[in-house]
Amino acid sequence: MELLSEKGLPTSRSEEYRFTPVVRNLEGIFSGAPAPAAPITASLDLIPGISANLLVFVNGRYSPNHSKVIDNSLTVKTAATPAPKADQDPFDLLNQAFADELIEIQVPDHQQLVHPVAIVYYIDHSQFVFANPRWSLRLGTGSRCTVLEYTVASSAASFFNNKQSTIEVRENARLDYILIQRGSRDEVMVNNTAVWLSSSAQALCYTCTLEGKLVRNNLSLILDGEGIDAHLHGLYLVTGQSLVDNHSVVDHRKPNSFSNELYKGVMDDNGKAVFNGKIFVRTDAQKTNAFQSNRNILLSENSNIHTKPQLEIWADDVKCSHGCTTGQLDEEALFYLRSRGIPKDAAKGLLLTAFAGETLEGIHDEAIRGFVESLILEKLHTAHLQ
Amino acid sequence: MLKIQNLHAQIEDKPILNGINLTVNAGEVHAIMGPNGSGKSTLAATLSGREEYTVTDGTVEFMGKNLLEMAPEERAREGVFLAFQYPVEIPGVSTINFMKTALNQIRTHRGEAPLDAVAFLKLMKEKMKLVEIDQSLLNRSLNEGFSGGEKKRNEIFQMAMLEPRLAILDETDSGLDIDALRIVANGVNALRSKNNAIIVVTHYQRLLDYIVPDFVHVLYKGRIVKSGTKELALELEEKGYDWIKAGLATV
Repeated sequence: MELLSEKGLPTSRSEEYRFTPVVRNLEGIFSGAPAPAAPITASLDLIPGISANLLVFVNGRYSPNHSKVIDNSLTVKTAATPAPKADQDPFDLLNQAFADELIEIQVPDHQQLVHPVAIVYYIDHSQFVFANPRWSLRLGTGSRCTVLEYTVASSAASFFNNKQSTIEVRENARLDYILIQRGSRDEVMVNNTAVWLSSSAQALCYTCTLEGKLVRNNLSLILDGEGIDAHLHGLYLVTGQSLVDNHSVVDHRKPNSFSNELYKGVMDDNGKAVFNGKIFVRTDAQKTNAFQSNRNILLSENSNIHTKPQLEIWADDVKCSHGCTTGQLDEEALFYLRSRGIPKDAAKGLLLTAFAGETLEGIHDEAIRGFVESLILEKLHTAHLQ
Repeated sequence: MLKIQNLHAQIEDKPILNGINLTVNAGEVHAIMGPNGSGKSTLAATLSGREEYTVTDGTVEFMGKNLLEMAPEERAREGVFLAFQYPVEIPGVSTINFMKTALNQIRTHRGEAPLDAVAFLKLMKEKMKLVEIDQSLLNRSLNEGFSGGEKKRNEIFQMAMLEPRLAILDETDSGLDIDALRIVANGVNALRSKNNAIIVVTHYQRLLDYIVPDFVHVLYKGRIVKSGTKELALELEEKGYDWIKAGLATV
């Protein structure tokens, strides 16, 4: 708390939060401790027909009663929050000030979890909720795990979910991490996730933002080994008055690793988005291949995107590229589809679905990929086509 | 079937079509020829409903309805098909998925039930043979990375699937070698019937060796300046477009 009051929360004057006035959106709503939870009636399962290891945070606090571990090898423990450090993100410090425990999730060495791990933030709306969930996940050597993370909020009240997590992926382990943000239209979400990767680890981090008043994702991948294969995919469909800000860091610290970042966005109405992608290639990280692409479609005059690639390369024998595009739907493609009898709205839908669909590549589990695709379709249909 | 009267059209204030008159009946194949810039592609674009062209005068009646009032998709559902000179590449949309959506739109419009997956696949396989196109190509993103010949064959494949009343082939021969030209033309010929009509827009006579027209029209400066039978195309090939231009100059 001392560190936090020294630093203060970021305003639009701080470079890292220039476009994203989190604090302004929170003014007047700090009411301190989380509200008590009423009995949960909403379904906590996200995907029909897929059973998962459910880890449920009720108003930011882990609730063993609502959680259900079905893979025996998965362990979940409660630990004390570690001591804060000065270089932490201000929202991380804020979380530390409020979260009194850290949930430690572990997949042992060489274990391949049969079921995904679903991390669910259940928000009870009887009053404004300020939630500070905090967890860490460790994938042991050679293990494999799919993580699904999402919010369940049953009514339209507002809340602030200030989530902090760290993931450690040990040698030869494989992580599929899928974050789905569609809790509520009035959700304010700050999402700090740091993923540490060891040699020969594989990771796909997929951030899919479909709803939320203000969403800020800070995702860092630290490639602290050789032969790592890391993919960061993101999709943001921003409508209404929403603001979605993705800040990512890919930090290549050792040689011979690969990273590929693909973020795509569709903005409509007054929707605003920010993409900031940092890639660091340290002196030791020779033979790094690091690629980044950010592509955006603006559907309305009042929507906008701020995109900023930031590559800092200290090694000399590397292959890096970045590119960003912003445009409207391709009129020629639209006409082609219409000239075959497809109505304009459906043609737009087809093009947007195809545009968005590319980000789904790389999700290993077909059922999960299909489900995420259906969420995207649903959003495209309700938001853009009517 | 199609009745064009005194059609004037422009793009960005530049008049391109200056009074086209043309009647096409069911069962007929019409070739529209003409030098570059004569308005051939504009005519095709105007008939298919491209929005960047503005019709300033004249009427187009299709099956007794005012074609010019219809959106591009409505024209397609009524049975107008444009085979593009430059088919568009659409990443992420497979030809199969696209065709299924399009066909079922058109079927619904005709009052027919949408095809289920099995029936669709059966129809598709049948039509694939017509243009010697491989299914692996149709599974891929629409036209993405296709060769020139593959793109044009895909156009005719789509025509075969949608069974239009009126097909407009816009420079379908451009960029094709002789083998691809033959395949495409064979596909088109197989689709000819007494119930449909085809307008072949082309710069060269060579496509007309394969798709033999009933009528040939020469377009120049946005007007049809000469009409005849297939012999006119041969005469044009021999004498060149300067013959037309010279003929007009002396009038």
